[in-house]
This record gives sequence, structure tokens and C-alpha cells, in this order.
Amino acid sequence: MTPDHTADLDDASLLRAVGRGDEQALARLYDRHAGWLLVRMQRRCASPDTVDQALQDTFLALWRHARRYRGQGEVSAFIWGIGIRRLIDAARADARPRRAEQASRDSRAAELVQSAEDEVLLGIEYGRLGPALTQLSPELRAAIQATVLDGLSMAEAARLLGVPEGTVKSRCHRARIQLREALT
Amino acid sequence: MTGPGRAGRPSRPAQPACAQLSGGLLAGYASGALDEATAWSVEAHVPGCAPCRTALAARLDGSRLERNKSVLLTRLALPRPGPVGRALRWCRVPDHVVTLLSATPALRRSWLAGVALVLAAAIGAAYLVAPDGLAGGPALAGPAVGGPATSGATLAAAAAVRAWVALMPYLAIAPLVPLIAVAAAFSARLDPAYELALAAPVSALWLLLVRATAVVAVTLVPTAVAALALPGPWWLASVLLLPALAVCAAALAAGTAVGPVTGAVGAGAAWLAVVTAATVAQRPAVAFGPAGQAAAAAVLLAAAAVLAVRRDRFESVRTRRAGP
Amino acid sequence: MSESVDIGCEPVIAARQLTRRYGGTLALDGVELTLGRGVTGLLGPNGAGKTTLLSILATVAAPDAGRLSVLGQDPADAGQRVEIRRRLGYLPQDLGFHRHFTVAAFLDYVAILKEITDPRRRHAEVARVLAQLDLAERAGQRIRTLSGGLRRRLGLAQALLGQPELLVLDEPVAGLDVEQRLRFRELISGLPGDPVVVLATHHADDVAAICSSVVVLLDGRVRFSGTPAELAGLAAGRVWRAAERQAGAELSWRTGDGQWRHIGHEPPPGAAVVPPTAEDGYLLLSGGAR
Repeated sequence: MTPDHTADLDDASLLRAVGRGDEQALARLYDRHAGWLLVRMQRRCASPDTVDQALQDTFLALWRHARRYRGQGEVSAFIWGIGIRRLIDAARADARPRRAEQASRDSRAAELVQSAEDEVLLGIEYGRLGPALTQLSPELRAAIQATVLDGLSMAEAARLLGVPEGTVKSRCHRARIQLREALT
Repeated sequence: MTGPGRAGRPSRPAQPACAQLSGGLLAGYASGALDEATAWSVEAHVPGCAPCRTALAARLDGSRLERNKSVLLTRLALPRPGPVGRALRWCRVPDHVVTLLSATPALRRSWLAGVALVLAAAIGAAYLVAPDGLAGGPALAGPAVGGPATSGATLAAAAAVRAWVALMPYLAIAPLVPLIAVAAAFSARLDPAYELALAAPVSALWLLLVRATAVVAVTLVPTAVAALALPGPWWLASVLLLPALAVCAAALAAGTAVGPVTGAVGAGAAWLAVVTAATVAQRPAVAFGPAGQAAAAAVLLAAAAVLAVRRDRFESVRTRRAGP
Repeated sequence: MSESVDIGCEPVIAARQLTRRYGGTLALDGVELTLGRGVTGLLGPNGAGKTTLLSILATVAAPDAGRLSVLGQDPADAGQRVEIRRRLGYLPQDLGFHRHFTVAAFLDYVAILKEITDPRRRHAEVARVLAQLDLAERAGQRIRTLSGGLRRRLGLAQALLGQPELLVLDEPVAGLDVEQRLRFRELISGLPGDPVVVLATHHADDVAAICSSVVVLLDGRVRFSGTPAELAGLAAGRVWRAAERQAGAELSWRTGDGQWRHIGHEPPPGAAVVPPTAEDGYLLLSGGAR
């Protein structure tokens, strides 16, 4: 067993090492991040088998596409961007026995659409947002969660929630209005 | 960050504590006990905070994380499918069939190099006989070339004879290439783990068909491409498709009685006999013309029927021959 | 010859008058066998017919005559043969590997042969046996770079894929050093699901350590069937030690501490008789042929 040289590296250095083919670095990233990834995925998908599969797929994708990370934002956000899309793919693969195209998902991993309003929402202390979020109806809350918290595009959120894109857009809009009213 | 429900409890010692989240919140988040909004807050915070990540992971089922890690490392060690494999997957071919195809023992570079050599030899032979190319190409249908003699017909007949002599090596050999490949894919000597395949529940016939398909597809492609290099008509390769398939199928069908290698030898010999007889009698149409194609199709169908009926015999022949 | 059958349990393997020829040689001559749950050791010298018998039990070869029942199924019938194979794990004596395979790729291939088609289940199963045989770190290594002992471990790993009910292992510890043989004993004793194991070996001490029943095969015939203790009992009163080599013994050899160990049908009077081991019983039966 070669001595573990990865213990002291930060996430970005680990990811660079993964890009060079360092399997120990990937194992170390797994040790650090698999826990929260698992919980976060579990909250969105009821089937433990699907979540297990998505968890593996995420790190497999990290192994293959580590070089797409170019220092933009936190490594954990990069990982989640991959993870949520792997989760969607795994859930769809279970719903319908068909292989989904993966390449296009990975390329958009770093794209987060952040409008000024979203930044306001994210920047606000969640303490004040809490009761307001709870007052939203489940569909509005799911739409906001998918687009703002999970960083999906409108099209991806539509696929995840199983509704047309226009519906997602209008729900987000209504959710923002209600939240703004609740906060002012 | 202040969140609803955060009490002024001191955080647990043991590791660098995060000032923002208490252990109770993390436990609630891990178990799904938190209300929606609080859970969101925790969820947005944890991924970017190393102490919280560690504390959360400590509360989870370690064996599940370990199990997934070992499967992940196994998947890392498995070979990725090449471009052909990816294309097949895109066509919805099941994953295990693709893996099996990639593992077929006969598809090695050395084998393909041998195929290329043989085809090159056949092409070389063709150019030796007809270095200036062929005008008009061989006549596949129509009367035997030794027909009534008029001067024009004699010239055409002579040209046709030359055409056949030039192309004969290729035409005789080309169906044998996939045949040899199929037999090789099945020979015990070339499949080092054949005993495992025998002792496994997988159907011997299914395994054979998968491998034979892979091998025939791979060898037919260079064979067909080689036809383009020949000094003959461009459609020459299509003439060979049915005879090639018929010869392979006949070999497999005979293999239900005598084993795949013997069956292949017999089928190959039969094909060469047909081609030789057709050449000697100067009736190439028998082998390659419409009559020949029809005969090949009939042989193919009959062989498929035999295979279907006798599929169990095929496997038991292999067990008879197995020995210490 | 004593018949040892698990009382009250249905025999997992029952063979009557099994016969198999290769050319002019009679490899198996009317073998009668009844095996129940637990680990059974098959002892015998080269050419005794162990490999032939095991390949017949594994449905890889067919007997010329005789009746056989494996896991309640008859291997002569095609459908039942497939059913046996679904619950079987087999390690042949000479296992070859495709030159280009890596460890994980080979196991993946065998898993497909065992009809584990779902990729998730298959990868999980491969990961499981890799961990079980301590091969996880070598998952990406090419087989042709592995030592003989590691290849044997890999062969054992593929036999364990799918958690079979019946394990047929031909010389599983051949080429393994002492430490690896000990690990093998631990592995076999602790298999989940309590499968039936039949293993052929030269090493009587392995048999004594892990097998609940022993079958001794000589010249294609069963010469003993019983527990290791009963096998040792065959040599009771017939094993003695002395400071020098003595005539009158069928077998003599020098042990590690410098003394000589003798086995014979009639120990000389006053000899220092010692308690026999299973190996002594086997040697007595086989007349020293190894």
C-alpha cells in the first residue's frame, strides 16, 4: 500500500490530481464528499438503489471529466452540479429502461444561471426566508429548489419535475413574487 | 448564519467545530427529521464546510458508503468500450452483450493483421492476371462462357474467362475468412477459459451466435473493402454476402454433430469444391449468379433450422470432448 | 470402506456406478458417492481420477455410464443441467485466461457467463468477490502480470461469483504458499450461505483442517469415504517414531525435528507408537504413491 500523499491537499488540488489519473486522490475526494452527496440525493429520490448508482456515477464522471473544473467556484458546487444530473439520469434509467446521453449533461455542469433576484434570495438570511418558504405550495417550492438551490436550467428542471418548461417558469415567477411579498 | 431552531448549545468537541451548525441540526438533516426550510439551509451550507461534511459523514451508515466505494473502484478498473462499443450501446444493444462482444477472443490485432495479409494476397493475384484492369467485368448470369463461337462472342468469352481467373482467388477465399474466424472463436485452444463457459448456465448457442456475429461483422468489413480494390465491378462484395453467411451457418449446423472446428473444415472444403467445379466447368454463374445466390439462401435457412432444433446437441458435443 | 452420510439431510450429490474412459484408459471405474452439506475433500494421487470426477460433477464432462444426481437435478437432461450450472461455481485444475484481460474485466466476463446481466448487480458482485479474495487493489492489473498464486486466487474469485450453492474446486491451493493456504482455509470455512464444497487436493493436512468428510480415490475407485478422524483411525497403532530409519516399515521419512516417522502394517515390538493423522491414513491406503 503506497503511503497516502493526499491527506493534506485541498479539494482543488485533489481534483487536479484526479485529472492526472491519481486514483488515491479520487478515493480521498470520495471520503470527503460522498457523505453529504448521499444525503442530498436521498432527499430528492426515494429509491436507495438509484441513489447508490447515482453516487457511483458522480465519482466516475469526476474521474473522467476532472479537467472541466477550472477553478470556477467551490469544488463541492462542481460536484453537486454533476451529482444532480447523474441522479436525474439514474432515475430516468430506472423509470424507463433506456440509456440516457450523458455527455451533454457533464458539459453544463458549471453553468449556473444566476439572476440578480436569485442572488438576493440566496444572500438573504435563511432565518427570514424560512417561514416564507414553508408557506409556498409544494409545486412552487419544488420549482424554486430545482432552479435556484440545485442550479438546473429551466429545461432540466422541467424534465426533473415532469412538467412543461413553461410551467416551471411560471411557477418560479409566482414563487419569487410570493417570497418577495412575504419578506417585505 | 442563523437558522430557525438553533439553540445556544455548545457544539460537540472532538473535531474542528463549525460555529454555525450544531450536531443536532446535522443529525436531523441526516435522518430527514428537519422541516423543509431548515433542511434547505443546512443543505446549502454543508457542502462548502469541511467540518460539517466530516461530522455529517460520521452520522451515516459507513458500510453503505464503503460498499459504494468498492463498487466505484471496481467500475474504474473495468475497460471502457471503444467507439464500436459506444455505437452499439447507442443502438440500445444491452450492456452485457457489448461487453461479451469486446471480449471475443478472435478479435485481436494479430488476427486482423492475418486477415489483411490474406486479402492482400488475393488482390495481388488478381492484378497479376489482369494488370490493366478488366473491361466490362465478369458475366454472372447468362450462358456458359464456352458457348457458340462467333468472333465477337469469342473475344467477350475470353475476356470473361480472364476476369474469372483474376477474381477467383478472392471469390474463393473471401467467404472462408469469416468461416475461419468463427471456428477460431470457438476452438477450445483459442478460448483459454472455455471450461468456465461450459460450466456456466449461459446458453452455448447464444454465446456462439454473439461471438460469430462479432467475428463475421469484423471480418466481412475488410473483405468487402478489399473487393473495392479489385479490378472488378464495385458490386462484387455483395455477391459474396449470402455464400459467406451460408458457409458459416452450415459449419455451425454441422458443428452440432461433429464439433465447430470439424464442421468449419467440412463447410470450407465443400465451398472450395463448389467453386472449383464451377471454374472447371466454366459456369461461374452456378456459384455466384442468381442460381448460386438462391442456393446459398436455401442452405442458410436450412442450417438455421438445424441449429435451432439441435441447439442442445451442440453444447453436449463440447462436454463429450472435454477431458483432463 | 465406510459410508458416511449426514443423517437426516438429503444428499446433495449422489453418484452410482460412474464410469468414464479416455481412449483405452479407465479414468473412473464404478464410482459410488454420496455427499451432503459441508466441505468434502477428495484425496488421491495424480491419475487417480479426481479431475475427471470433478469435471463430471461440474457438468463439464459426461460419464460413459452410471447415474448422477447433483443438487437434486440430473445432469443428463439438458434443462436440469442448466439449472445445476446456475447454482454452481467451478475452478478447473488448469484455468486459462485471455491474454488481454485485466482482473476486473475477467470477473465481469465470467459474471456475464453466469447470466448476471444487470450491470449494477454485476459490478456489485465483482466488487464483492474482489474484496473477499483481497484482490481489490489489483482490479486494474493485467492477468498476464500476475503470479501463479494470485491467478489461483482469481480463479477462486470467479468460482464465488453469484454465491453458488455448490463449489467444485480442483486443486484450489496449488502453487500457494503456506500463508495463502491458511487464508484459503479461513475463506472456505467462513463462506456466507453455507455452500456445499467439494475440493480435490494433494494436501492431506488441508483436508484434516477444513473438511467434514473425505473421499480417497485410487485408480478410479473410491477406497475410503468418511470423516478425517476415521481416515486417521485407519492408521491407528500403525505409526511410530524412531531415531533412525528402520526396516519393516512401508513408509519412512524424516520429520522436521530429526526423528524418523514410520508407517507400516506391523510396528516392531517396543516401537514408540504415535497417534495417527489423516495424512498417515491416506498414505497407508495409497501405499505411499503420491
